[in-house]
Amino acid sequence: MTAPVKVVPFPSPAEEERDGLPQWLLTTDHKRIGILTIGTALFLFFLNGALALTMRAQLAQPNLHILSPQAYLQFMTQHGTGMIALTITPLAIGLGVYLVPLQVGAPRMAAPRAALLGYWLYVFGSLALIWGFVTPTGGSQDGWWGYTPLSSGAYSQGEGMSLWTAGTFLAAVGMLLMSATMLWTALRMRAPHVTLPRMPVFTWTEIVTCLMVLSGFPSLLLGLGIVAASRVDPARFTTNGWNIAYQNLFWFYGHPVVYVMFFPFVGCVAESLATFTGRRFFGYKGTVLSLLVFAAGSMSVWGHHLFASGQNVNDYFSLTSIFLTIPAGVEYFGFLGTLWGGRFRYTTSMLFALAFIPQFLIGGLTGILVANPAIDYHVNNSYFILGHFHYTLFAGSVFGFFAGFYLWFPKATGIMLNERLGKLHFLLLTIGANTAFIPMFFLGYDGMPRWMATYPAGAGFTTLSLISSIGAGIIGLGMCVFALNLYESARAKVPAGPNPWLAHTLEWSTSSPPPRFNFNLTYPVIRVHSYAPLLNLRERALAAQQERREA
Amino acid sequence: MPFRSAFSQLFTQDTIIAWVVFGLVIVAMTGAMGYSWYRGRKGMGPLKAAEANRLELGYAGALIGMVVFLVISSFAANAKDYPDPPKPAVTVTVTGYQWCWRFHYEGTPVTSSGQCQGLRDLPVLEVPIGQPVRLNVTATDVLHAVWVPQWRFKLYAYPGHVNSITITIPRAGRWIARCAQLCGVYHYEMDFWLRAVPPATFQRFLRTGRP
Amino acid sequence: MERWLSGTSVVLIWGALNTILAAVLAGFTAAGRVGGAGPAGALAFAIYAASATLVFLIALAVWAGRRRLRGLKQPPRPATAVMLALAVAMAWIALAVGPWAAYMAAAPLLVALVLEVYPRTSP
Ligand SMILES: [Cu+2]
Repeated sequence: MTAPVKVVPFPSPAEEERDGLPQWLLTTDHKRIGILTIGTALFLFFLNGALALTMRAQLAQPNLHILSPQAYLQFMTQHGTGMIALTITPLAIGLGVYLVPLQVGAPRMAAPRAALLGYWLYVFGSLALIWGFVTPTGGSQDGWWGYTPLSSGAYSQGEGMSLWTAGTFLAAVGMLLMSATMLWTALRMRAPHVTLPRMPVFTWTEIVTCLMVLSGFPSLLLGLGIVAASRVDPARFTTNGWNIAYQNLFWFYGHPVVYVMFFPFVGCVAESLATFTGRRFFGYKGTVLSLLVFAAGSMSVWGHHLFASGQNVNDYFSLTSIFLTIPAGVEYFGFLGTLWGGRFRYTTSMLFALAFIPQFLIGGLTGILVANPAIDYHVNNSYFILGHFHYTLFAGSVFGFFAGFYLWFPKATGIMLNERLGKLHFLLLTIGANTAFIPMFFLGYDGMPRWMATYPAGAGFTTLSLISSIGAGIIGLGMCVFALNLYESARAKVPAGPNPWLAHTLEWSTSSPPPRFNFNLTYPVIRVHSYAPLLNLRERALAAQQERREA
Repeated sequence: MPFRSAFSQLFTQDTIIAWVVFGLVIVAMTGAMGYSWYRGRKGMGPLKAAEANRLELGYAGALIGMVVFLVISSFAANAKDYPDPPKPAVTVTVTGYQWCWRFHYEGTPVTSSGQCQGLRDLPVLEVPIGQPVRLNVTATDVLHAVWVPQWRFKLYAYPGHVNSITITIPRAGRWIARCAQLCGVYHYEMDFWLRAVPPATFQRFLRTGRP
Repeated sequence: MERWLSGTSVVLIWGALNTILAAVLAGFTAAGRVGGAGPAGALAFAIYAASATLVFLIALAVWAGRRRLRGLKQPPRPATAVMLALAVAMAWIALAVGPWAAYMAAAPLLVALVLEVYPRTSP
């Protein structure tokens, strides 16, 4: 009844890729492109995180000048653009490039050379941004928004801002290409029996993510065109119209991108929860529908970044932003429904997934607060906003990423991660994140603006800033434990086997790591009947066992 | 001062809702953990049910109701902040530039500014107590933003564009105002004072140009 | 659910939702409350409408597209992709270092072209 379905002629082992460096850097295997993307992004995660720690050191006390104001703004810009455009977005997309073809039973991804092109554009873009730091005037100082006219040639001389424009553009095109190929794979290259309602939740999250990238990122490219032109010829771009056009174009990308950095990690959490409770993900239909509505709706909320601009349809953007509560609430229902009646296994992945739920909720609930113009008039551009989006991006998305990372690392490498170090990593990150980001809400409420290179004594910011800096230090420590875990696990080489977690989805039916074309004669594509095919098999085996016992 | 009262009312209301939601999720999670432990002790496997359509629909209905309520209160508060503006007693053009502020009192020759580097000689925006003051906010070079945390309002200052806001400060006092838009290297020092004085004192200020 | 759900319809749902939301934006802009009136509101609508249109074009592409699975060979000449990326990167770097970088981009572009015209013999 579970006869393997042979979809394609399988290549002989000789055709499988060799392991040299050129084979990796010129790979057209979606798994390798995915691993390269995630690896590059993790490297940049450490780099951009180190910048944040330096900034927090500066802010630990008033009137510190560890960094000059110029250097502070450069670090801050690189931290922002680096984390958003070069780290968390690529992590979100890279996970999908790796997993989506496996989850839909495709032997390879569509247009792999386009995806490889995307990866290299991302690499060159990252290099351009980092290059800024070794130019005489340093990197860009204009924040990750790159608002004109501050970013124009008139107010930001030097190569830093030009390199920022180039790098951000290249990385965005890279992500566009990867998303397009991934979307095509999911929509058009599934194994015949993997119909859309049998796709895992993770694949659905990647589909809506790709759609957001495809409809939001071109807007950034147009906006960066304005910045580039205003660097060449600043005199031509002095009117208000260009500034407000840039801001709308930027946020038409800038808001969807925060959901690009969210949905795939919702997918990670969903798969982790389902796996480690031993349950089918609860409320699949509602969740898939809400993902579609949520992602489509997320295209309509960009103006809530411009509530205090005086040139914005505030009521509309308040309406759409608050509306997103409905699909978000439905997703949370899915999480909680999956937990209810499960048999928990508290692995590192599960712990990250569990912590994601309340921590992202803090980001989401404060998001509803700032979706009110009357509240945003106060907290806009303050530390309150920093607290809000670090809860969504770090305490939420990065935790979701680690839930996925600890879950799929054995699949991608064939070896297990050290669980004890993993739990220490989790503990330090949880303590650190909450210590670092809770004070930010109070700082913003008390009147501390963003982007401050330092602050005066007696402004009432000192104690809370110090607490936040200590939290940042604990996060740094946690990331060191993570690095140690990678090293230690690579040394110990505990073999994983195809399905070490008893997970439910198709990628766990093939070897770890999977063969070049994902499935082969030893590990064929099994017949898929639902979005949890391996759970179906296990349940059926269990039922047969029981029958035999009774008979 | 509508900005402060609308903020306080809405912030309190939505924060309470947020805490209730947060509490419910925590209770549900803890309950699920306990239930899992209980099922483990009884040797029961995980539940098989993966749907509860009625429950989900009812829940979605409740969510929609909450969202309608939240949207209505958001619109109401925003309308309070930006009513049809009362005729201002005085109009001040507030100009941000790299890296300080300048205030011009319309219809008078008075323009005041100050030193934003260091806290000693910050510019002071003088306003009369209890009278509507119209601020025309603009900038000469890059974007800036006027933010008076105490009175909960903020408005961006765009070069080549004037944004207007009407404020009424109910009592005497002096409050810090900060630039809330990244405007370059000395953004962090771009502060000024908002000072409310009795109308008579304010009139004297307009005549002499001295506080 | 299974019957109407297809790759095309998923993208179409998206396009439809965005069309509705863009229409509501147009309504709010026309009503002109709190900063809604004026060119900024029209601009916001134009961006949104353009993006919604793009979604329908994507739906069209998905609908027209064929399942492409031409066997399981490695796609040849992946180096073309790297050369192309290098060329685009150099063209953009010209913004920072001057037009010479854009002229230099011709080199990797040429290599890419040669790679495509003269297919590598498989090792
Ligand atoms: Cu400023």
